[in-house]
Amino acid sequence: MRYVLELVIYPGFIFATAVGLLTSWFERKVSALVQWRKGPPVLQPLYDLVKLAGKETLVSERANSAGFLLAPFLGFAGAIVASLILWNANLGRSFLGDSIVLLYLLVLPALAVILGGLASGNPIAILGATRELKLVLAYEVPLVLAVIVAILKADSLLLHRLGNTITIGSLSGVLAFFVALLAVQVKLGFAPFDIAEAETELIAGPYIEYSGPPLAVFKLTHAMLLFILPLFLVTLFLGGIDFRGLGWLWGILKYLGVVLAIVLIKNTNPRLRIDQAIRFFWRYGLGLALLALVLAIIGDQVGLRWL
Amino acid sequence: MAAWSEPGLWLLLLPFGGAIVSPLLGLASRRLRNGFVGLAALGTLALGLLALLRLDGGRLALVSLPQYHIIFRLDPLSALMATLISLLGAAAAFFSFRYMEHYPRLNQYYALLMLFLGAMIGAVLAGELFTMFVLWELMTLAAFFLVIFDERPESMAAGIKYLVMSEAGALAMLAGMILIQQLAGITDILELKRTRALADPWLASMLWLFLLGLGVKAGMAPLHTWLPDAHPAAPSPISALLSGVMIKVGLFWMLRIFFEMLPPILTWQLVLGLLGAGTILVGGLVALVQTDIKRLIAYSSVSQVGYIILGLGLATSLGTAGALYHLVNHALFKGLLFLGAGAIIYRCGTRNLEELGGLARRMPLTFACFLIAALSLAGVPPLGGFYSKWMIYQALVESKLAIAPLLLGAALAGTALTLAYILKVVFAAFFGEETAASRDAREVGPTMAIPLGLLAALCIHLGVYPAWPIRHLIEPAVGWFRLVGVWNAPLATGLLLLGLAVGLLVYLFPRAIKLRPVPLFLGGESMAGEDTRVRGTEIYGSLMSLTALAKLYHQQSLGKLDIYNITRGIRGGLTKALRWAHSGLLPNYVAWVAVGLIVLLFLILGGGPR
Repeated sequence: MRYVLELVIYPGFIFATAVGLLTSWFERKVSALVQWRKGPPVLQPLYDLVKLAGKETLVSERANSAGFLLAPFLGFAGAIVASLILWNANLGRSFLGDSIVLLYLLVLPALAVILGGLASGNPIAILGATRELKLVLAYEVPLVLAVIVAILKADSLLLHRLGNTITIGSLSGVLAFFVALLAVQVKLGFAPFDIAEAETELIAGPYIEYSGPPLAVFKLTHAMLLFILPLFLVTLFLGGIDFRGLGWLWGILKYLGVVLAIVLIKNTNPRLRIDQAIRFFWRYGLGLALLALVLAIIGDQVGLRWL
Repeated sequence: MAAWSEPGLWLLLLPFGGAIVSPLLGLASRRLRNGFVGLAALGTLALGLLALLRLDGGRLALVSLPQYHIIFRLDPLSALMATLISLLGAAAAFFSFRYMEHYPRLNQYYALLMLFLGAMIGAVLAGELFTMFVLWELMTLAAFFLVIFDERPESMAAGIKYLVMSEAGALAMLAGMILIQQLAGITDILELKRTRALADPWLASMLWLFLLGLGVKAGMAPLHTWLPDAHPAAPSPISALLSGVMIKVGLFWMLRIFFEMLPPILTWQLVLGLLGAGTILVGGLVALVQTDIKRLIAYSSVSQVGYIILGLGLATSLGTAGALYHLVNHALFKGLLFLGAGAIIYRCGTRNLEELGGLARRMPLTFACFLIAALSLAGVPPLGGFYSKWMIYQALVESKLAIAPLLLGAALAGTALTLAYILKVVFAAFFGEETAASRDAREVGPTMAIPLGLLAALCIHLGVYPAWPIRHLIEPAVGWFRLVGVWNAPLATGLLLLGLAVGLLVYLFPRAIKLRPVPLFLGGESMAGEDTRVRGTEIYGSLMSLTALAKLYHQQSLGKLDIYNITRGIRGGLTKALRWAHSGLLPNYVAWVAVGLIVLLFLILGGGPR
């Protein structure tokens, strides 16, 4: 029962959604300021969701309707369990191997988008879904290597140990953080890696046939990801959130800093082509991540903490 | 010496009996033969389960004739393997009834199938090196005849390739066995394990020969190249057996030798770790660009074998437990994938992914089972594949090897590759536009659907509730390891299911589910048939055109990286030498026989080597 409450209210669904929607507003406000606009009110993301949830559900005639309608929940379930695990880890409660579980759970939202797009039967959605698939293939390997650097620095798979280690205090940690930040940018589908959605050419890609509640679930998942992924970076690389004394304030600053970096990257870069993105991640991303990993292994074996 | 009252012994004998009786029945009636084969397969499965439960973690000698080098023994590990083989065997037998109905010479087919099952069960129950070798060869031969069963030229070529590579490996292994017998004087597995005789540096070097033989069978890169040729050539139920269990027999013996008989040795940890990681990446990268559904799944087997070898190579209890659990999982989901591919081929008549599409609506049950297997293969929680891969990762993190983080990176990268190639199959076959081949497809009948459903249910069970199999199947086999109490897979799984439920509630809250069908939105464009069909085989086009990969793929597609082709010169020379001996002239043969007789007589009368 405790788990049900945790999952539904705090730190699961309601909490992650609330923070996610606030972050979403922050993202929109900062984007607006960068673009010399005023920006929406605080509750605007919530209004959008409620409005969508009240709309009709349209299903295209060529869709595989079961797959089409169930796909959003796969990502949604992955996101709430991920937020539960991640927040609990920051509170000092983690279980063996939770970082690997988390990595897997964070693939679920992308998988949901891909399956949903493929099931919708729309060639444009299918194009978008295959792009998403290729992006997963492109960023997942560098991201995993970056996470391994953090694991090596903390010498543990336990998330709360990872949270207690300031990975970025070393050379390999800085490199790994940079790679992971870019991977998170793709996971969030933000420019310059919004290639799957590409509203100007693919008209929202995999989401094109979605409407009403299923689309709301996708938006909700995205809002939660906006909370989870920056927190993931903070936990793995920046020493996590410490709830003793005023530590939580410092933690929130770290979190907002990461979000700000993501939003600024989003607003100052044009979209890449899919082949450019793959090449970027496989050449520079993989190269940097491997370099970081080798440095970290050397540092670990020789005993140089700063490497 | 044989324990006649033990189910384990009958488990060993029943398939061989079936192999003899089924063709005789087949002469009388087709239905009688099929019924008998079905019963024999189910009986084997029942005996396997019974033996496994009665064993209860102990050890049991089934046949013990050490003076003739014949020992069969049941222990937790071999009982688990034998049960797994009989399970997949039963699934394949039932699947065959409809799938094979248009093939000729079915009496031979079922006899070979039962022989293959019996040989595999024997090869895992063998408790002595030479016993194992005989059954190993029987298994290879039965598999060879099943691979070439339809006698098309490409099947013949694939079969010959399989036979040549397997036999080269088997000969290497035989040499290793003879050397062990000569140097250590022990061939009993238990004795070898107890005395740790192989830890002697001289004997340990014999292990390279074993690695060669077992590696070929297991599909370890770079010795894997027979596998993607032989699997598609064989009928689908046989592919399921080849990939589901036969390559596992090779892995099983790797586990026996490298984990049970050796203390952890750094060299072997490095060798197996690097070979495993290499196998994962090679298999995954090549699978990505295949267009033949069975060939793609075959390469996927290569990749997954890499995980098992990697887990074994760590030589820790946890690593081996992860490897063994992955072996069990892989047997189930890969068997299911091949049977699912078989169902598609049966209904659509093509293996080419390019000609398939839109089957999710035509064959919903096949689709559901295939998707479960695919997600389990990709390691998506809460399915079985996730749990076993996670155990291997955990073992890698705990390992003291300096290169363990790199191996972990390769293993996790392999997971992304897995997801990519298996989604390609799911998309190309089941989603998208319908094609000429898939337009008239229907769901398969019950004898094909039940094996699919059963395997899918097991895939889910092993992931949702891993505690029972871990405690009762894996732990007795590899020894105690620290893991089960701490990790909370049921919890995480429960949470995930709960998450799905919460999602559905949110979904249903605004309105009772009410859908309105609408035409596709294409931004004003029109859908004009083939032009707008996105082919599943094209989705990785932009990956293949990356310069570095493009070169590798090109070389690979020409077969230049294939060890079978690289060694063509050597094989040609050997063939020439043998051809000289096989002149076809009777007097020459008689002369050879006489020479052989004289040598034999000399050895026997002269006392011979002891």
